[in-house]
Amino acid sequence: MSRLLARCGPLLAVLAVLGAWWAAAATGALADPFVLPAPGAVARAAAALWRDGTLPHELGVTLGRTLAAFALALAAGAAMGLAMGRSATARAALRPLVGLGFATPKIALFPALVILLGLGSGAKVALGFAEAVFPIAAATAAAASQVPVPLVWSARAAGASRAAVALRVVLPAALPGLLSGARIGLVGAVIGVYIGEMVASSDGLGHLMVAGWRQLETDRLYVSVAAVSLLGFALDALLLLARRRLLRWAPEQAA
Amino acid sequence: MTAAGPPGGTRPKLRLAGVAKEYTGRRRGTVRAIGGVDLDVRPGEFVSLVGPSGCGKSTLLYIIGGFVAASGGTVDCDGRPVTAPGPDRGIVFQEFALFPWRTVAGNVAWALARRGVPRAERPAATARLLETVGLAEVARLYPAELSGGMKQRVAIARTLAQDPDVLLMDEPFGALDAQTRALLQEELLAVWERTGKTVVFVTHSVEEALYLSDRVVVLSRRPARVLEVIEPGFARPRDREKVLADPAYPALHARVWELLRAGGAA
Ligand SMILES: Nc1ncnc2c1ncn2[C@@H]1O[C@H](COP(=O)(O)OP(=O)(O)OP(=O)(O)O)[C@@H](O)[C@H]1O
Ligand SMILES: [Mg+2]
Repeated sequence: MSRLLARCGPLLAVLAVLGAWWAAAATGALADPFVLPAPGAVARAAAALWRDGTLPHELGVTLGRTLAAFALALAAGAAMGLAMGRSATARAALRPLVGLGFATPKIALFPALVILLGLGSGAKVALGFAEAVFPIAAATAAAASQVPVPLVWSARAAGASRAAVALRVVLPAALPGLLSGARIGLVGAVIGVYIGEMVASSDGLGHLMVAGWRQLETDRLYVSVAAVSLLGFALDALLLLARRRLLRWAPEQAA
Repeated sequence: MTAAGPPGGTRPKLRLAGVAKEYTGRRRGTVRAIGGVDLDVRPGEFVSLVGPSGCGKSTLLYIIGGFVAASGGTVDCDGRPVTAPGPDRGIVFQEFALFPWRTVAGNVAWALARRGVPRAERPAATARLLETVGLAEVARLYPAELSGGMKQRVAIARTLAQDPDVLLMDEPFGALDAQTRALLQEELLAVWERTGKTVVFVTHSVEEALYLSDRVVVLSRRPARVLEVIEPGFARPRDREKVLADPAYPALHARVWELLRAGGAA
């Protein structure tokens, strides 16, 4: 019984949200199609946008930018984090940078990014990168600084060079922490790219949202919101899957 | 008695001369961990270090390993000063220190690879080493799936894989139950007798030290100095029952305890 409930849990939750949405759109203060269109209307708009090719195209654009931003942030954040976790010099140099970067509202840099990188994908990828890189760097640094000393010494005694220790001992040992940071970073990348597309863009899901808003086609706005949420959800699920594979050796970590 | 030279005239495998160590911490100020230790260990010898808790045994072992720099004195291995870790000195820790993301075989093969054993020869060499420590069947398991005794066997196999001349062991059996501990002691002695490696073995157990060692180095409380060096002299290969039943055993046991108490057992 409880297994059945656990299996059906996600489905029940989705149904509950849709039901509440439908009820709110049908009655009460939100019953205004410009504020909250009914689920049916949004679904119809989504189907129409899918058929005329708009939705697949915008989705593809946003997905491409998100993956680029995340990949760059993963490489840079992991490298920075490993350096910070293992070298006092790197820690002293990078910690204020990462701390400040973490706290800065990245969107404030977007005008400068647009001037530097233009109105194309560059500025959006940069904003997604900026949202993603700091949590990854911070989580990796924390994990890398906690690698048990005996592991490192065992490797050094076996004849591993410092570079080999960093790559083949510290990196795998810090992987659980790195991947936790990557999960937060991935969502950050989605949001950064989407907001960049909202502010200045002619394509992408963020642009679809702003276009729907400007033209008072609120159902298109919600198609965009639903699409970007599902995109983030699906990417996060993929990352969890990868994490489970990568951390097979640590069953309790793979939850 | 401070200097502890081996009998006979062979060149020592390890020579510790005036080794001292101070830790400088922000909160505790300067802590003198080791106050000048002289010790020669001859090739193939099994030497135990015993001493009160916190006296600096681990620190001394880490200095020999080259992981920690001494603040005074020198350590020579084969006549060359030790300045960094090296494959001639393998280490086994109380907490096993296996790579949790590698399988049992992967841990051992990794050390073989660091030694430059060609890829094609590694599986057979890994199997042989695991055989040595009686773990052939669990080669494909991850460390998290092993018992403490099995983990320590893997750690020993991995250290043997680097083929060191000197085995440094920091309370390797301290975290194991009495039965497993006895078993691993016997296995270690068998491996040692077969390979002729030099062993420096830190332990809290006087019984373990007397059973295993050629010489037991008793250290004082912090800062550690050599109080006395005791040679149990039981016949090799050793048999636990015979050692415990030996008429000399009670006196040796009592002597080490007396030294530990006088030296300030905590
Ligand atoms: N990294 C360090 N920094 C500062 N002090 C240290 C450090 N490592 C050890 N010490 C101090 O040096 C002294 C000796 O420590 P060590 O671990 O060598 O003792 P030990 O004989 O191995 O103890 P035990 O028998 O409990 O394992 C202790 O007082 C300890 O607090
Ligand atoms: Mg110790």
